Amino acid sequence: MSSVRKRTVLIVAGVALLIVVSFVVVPRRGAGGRELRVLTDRTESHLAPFFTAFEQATGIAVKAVYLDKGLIARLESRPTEADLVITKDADLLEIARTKGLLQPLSSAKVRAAVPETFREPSGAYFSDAYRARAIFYSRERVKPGELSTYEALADPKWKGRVCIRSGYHDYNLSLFGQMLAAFGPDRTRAFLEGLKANLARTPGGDDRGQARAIFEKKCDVAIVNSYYMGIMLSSAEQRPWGEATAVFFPDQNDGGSFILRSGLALTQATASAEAATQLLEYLVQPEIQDRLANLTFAYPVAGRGPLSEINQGLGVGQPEVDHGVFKVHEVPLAQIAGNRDAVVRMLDALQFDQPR
Amino acid sequence: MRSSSTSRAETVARAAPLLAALTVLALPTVTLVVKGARATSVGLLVHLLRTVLPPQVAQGVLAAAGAALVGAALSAGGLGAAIFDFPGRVALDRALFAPLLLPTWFLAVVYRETFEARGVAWLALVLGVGAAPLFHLLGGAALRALPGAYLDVLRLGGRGRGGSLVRYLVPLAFPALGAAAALTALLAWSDAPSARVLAVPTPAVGMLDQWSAREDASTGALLGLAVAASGLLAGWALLSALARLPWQDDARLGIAPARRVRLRGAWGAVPWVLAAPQIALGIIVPARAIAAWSAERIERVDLATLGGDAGRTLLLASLATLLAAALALPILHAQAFVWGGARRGAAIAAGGLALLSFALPTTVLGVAVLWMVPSGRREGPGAILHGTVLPLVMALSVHLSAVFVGAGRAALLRHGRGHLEVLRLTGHDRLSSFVALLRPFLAPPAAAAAAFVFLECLKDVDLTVMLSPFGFQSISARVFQFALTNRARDCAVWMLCLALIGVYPLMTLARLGDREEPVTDPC
Repeated sequence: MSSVRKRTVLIVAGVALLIVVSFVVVPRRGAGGRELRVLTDRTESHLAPFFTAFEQATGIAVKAVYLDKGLIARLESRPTEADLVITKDADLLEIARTKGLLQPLSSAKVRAAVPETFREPSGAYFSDAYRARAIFYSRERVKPGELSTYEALADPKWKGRVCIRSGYHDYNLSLFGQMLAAFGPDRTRAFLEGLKANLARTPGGDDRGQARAIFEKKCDVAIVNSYYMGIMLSSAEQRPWGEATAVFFPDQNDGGSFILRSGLALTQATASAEAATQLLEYLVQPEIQDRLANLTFAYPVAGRGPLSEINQGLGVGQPEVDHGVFKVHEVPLAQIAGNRDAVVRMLDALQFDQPR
Repeated sequence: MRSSSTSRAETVARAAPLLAALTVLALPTVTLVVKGARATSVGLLVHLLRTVLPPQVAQGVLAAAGAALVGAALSAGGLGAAIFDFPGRVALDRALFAPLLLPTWFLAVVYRETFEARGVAWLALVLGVGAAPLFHLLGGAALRALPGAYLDVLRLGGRGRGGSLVRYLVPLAFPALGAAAALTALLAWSDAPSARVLAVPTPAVGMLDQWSAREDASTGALLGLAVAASGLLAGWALLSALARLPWQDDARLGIAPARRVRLRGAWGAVPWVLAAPQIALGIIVPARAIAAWSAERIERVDLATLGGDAGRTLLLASLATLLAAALALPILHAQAFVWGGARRGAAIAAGGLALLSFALPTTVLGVAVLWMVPSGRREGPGAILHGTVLPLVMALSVHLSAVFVGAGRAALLRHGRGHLEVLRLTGHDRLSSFVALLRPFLAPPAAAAAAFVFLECLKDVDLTVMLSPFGFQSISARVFQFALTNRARDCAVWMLCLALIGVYPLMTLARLGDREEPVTDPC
C-alpha cells in the first residue's frame, strides 16, 4: 500500500474513531432506565440542586437539557428523547398536550398535593408554582395609588414612562393571551396600542433589565414577574434595582392579577414512567415546595410554610393584598394557549418590538 | 479495452463521494422547504411576508450594512501591518486577530453592561468590531500579494515607494475588502444572539420569536429560509469578489510579491494610531470587563464543572472541524479534476450548497437537523443518533464546510490545469495527484480554515443549545444561558477559559495569514 493510501486510511480511521468516541462520551440511556431525561426551559441553577438531591435519595440519575426557546418544537421533533418536560410556562404544556406529546399522570400523591385548579383535567400536566405578571414601579417617582389595572398603563399619563421586554416573549404572550380571554380582542388591542405608545424605549432585554431601567430613571413603571424582586434583592449586584422598585399587583379590585404557571408533565413516549412519576412526586412534597419557593421566590401550590419574607412584602400600599397574598385572575390554560396565534398577529400588526 | 460494466462502476465510484457531499449539504435545505411548506398555511405565510418581514428586513439591512462599514473603517491599522514594516509590526498583526477569541454576542453583552448599548447602531458597531479581523485577514492577504514589479514601475516613473503603494496599489485590494464586507454583512444578517442581546428585531431574531411564540418550527423555518435566500445575495457577492482577487492571476504568472515598506521614525507609529480604535473597541473593552468580572467571581468557580464544560467543548469543536473538512474534500476533489459536463455542474452545485448552508442561520439549520434526525420510534432511522453529539457535530460541520471549500478553492485557483495533467501523464492517479501535488498548496489554507472553523465551533451557541444531548453543556452555551438571565458576570471565568482554549488556533490563523505567499514559476 502506498504511503498516500496509508495516510488516507489513517485519517478515515481517525475520524471514525472520534465518532465512536462521541457515542461513548455521551452514552445513550441504558436499558435499565435508572436515568431520567428532562427537557426544560427553566434556569439550571434553580433545578439542578433538586435533581442532585433526588438522585442522592433514590439512585435515579437526572440528565437535563436546558433550552432557551423551542421546547415543544424539540419535543415534537424527537418525542422519545425525554421522560419529563418541566417548563416555566405551562401554556407550552397545553400546546404539547394538543399535539399528543404528553401522557396522563396517575399519581395519587400529586393529586393530593396539587389543588385541582393547578391540574389539567385529564391529568396531562400540572403546575407546581406560579407568580404574578406584576407592575414594578419606582418607589421614588410613583405612588402605589397612581396604579390600578394593567389597562391603565395605556393611559396617556404614562407616555414615555413604561418599560417592557419583547412582546413575543412567553411571559408577555401568556399575559396578553389571558387578557384576550378575559377582556376580548378589542380591549386587548386597545391596551397593546396604548402600551406601545407609552413605552420609554424599544421592548427588549429581560425582566430584571426593566427593573434596572427604573433604577436608572429610564422609565417609571414596568411589567415584570413578581419573583424577580426576591431574586434581585438576593444579589449584591442587583440589589439596588430591587430597592429602587416596588411590586404592584394590578386589577385587585377587579378580576385579579394574571399569573404565570410553571408546569410539569410526563412525555407520551417515556419508557420510565414509574421513575419519572417518582421525581414529580418528589417535587411536590411540601418541604421541597418550600425550598423551591425560597430559592425562586415563586408561590408554591403545595407548600406548607409561610411565604418568604420578601414575598410577604410585595404589594405594599395595597390594602387588598394581605402580606403578599394577592387575588388571582384564573384563566384556563387551554384558552391562553389557543390565543397565542391571535396575540402574535396583533403584535405583528402593531410592530410591537420595532424601534419607536 | 475495458468492459462497459467496469466503466459504469468506475463512473459510479467516482461520482459517489460528490453525491454523498451533495446529499449531506442539501438535505437540511430540502427538509426545510418540504416540511415548512407543508405545515404552514398560506394565510399565515402571507401575513408573515406582508406584516412581519418588511420592518425586520429594514433593521437587518441597517445592521448588516453598518457592520460592514464599521469593519472596513476599523481595518486601516491591520492593512498598515500588511504592507508596512515598523517597530512592533508582528505584535500588532497578531493582536488584531484577538476579537475572534470571543463570541460576538459576548462582546454585545460587555457593551450592554458597560455602555448600556441597545439598538441597531450599537449592533452594527459590535458586529463590525467582531468582524474586523476578517478584513485584516482577507485585505492583508491581498495587499501582501501585490506584485513588486508594479512598485518598481511606479518608482521608475518618479513616484515614491510609500506614496505609490497607498495611492495606486491599495485600490487593488478593494475586491478583497469587498469580500470581507460581504462576509461581514452575511454574518450580521444571519446573527441572532447579538441582536437579541442588544434588542434589535432583525429577521433572524424575528424568526426565533415567531418560532417560539407559535411553538411551530415550520413557520420559523420558512422565515429562516427567507433570511437565508436574502443572505445568498451577499454570498453571491462574496463569491464574485473572491473570484476577482488580484493575487490569483499574478501568483499564477509567478510575479514576486512586493516587500513591506519600512516606516522610519515617527511614521512607524502611524499604523499603531490607525489600529487604536480597533484595539480599544475589540480588545481593551472586553478584556477589562472579563478581567474585572473574573476577579470578582474567581473564588466561587466550580472547577469540576468548568473542566467538564471545557472537555466537552474541545471534543465538539474537534469533531466538527474534522467532519467539516471531510465534507469539503470530495467537493474540492471534484472541482480540481472534473473539467466539464454534468459532474462539473454537480461539483459547482455542491460548492453552492455549501455556501447556502453557511448562509442559513444556525437556528434554521438546527430545526432542519431536528427534523432530519427524528427519534419518534426508537428503532427508526434516527435512533442511532439519539442522545449523542452527532446531530450537533453534523449541523456544525454542514454549516462551516463552506469555509474549507472556499479556502481550498482559492488555493486550487492558483494552479493551471497543466500541473495536474503533467502528473496524469506521468502515471499518477487522481487521488495521489490530489494529495501529492496539492497538499503543499492546500495545507496552509486548510490549516487556516481548520483554525477558523475550530474557533467558530468553540463559540457556537444556537446549534449547541438546540441540538445538544442530555447532560451536555459547552462553555459558550452555558455562558449564553447565564447572560440571558443577567448573570453573564458570573460566567466571566468560563469566557476567560474559552479565550485561552482559542489562543493556539488563533495564533495559527494569524501566523498563516501573515505568511508570505509562495510563488510558483511554471517556466
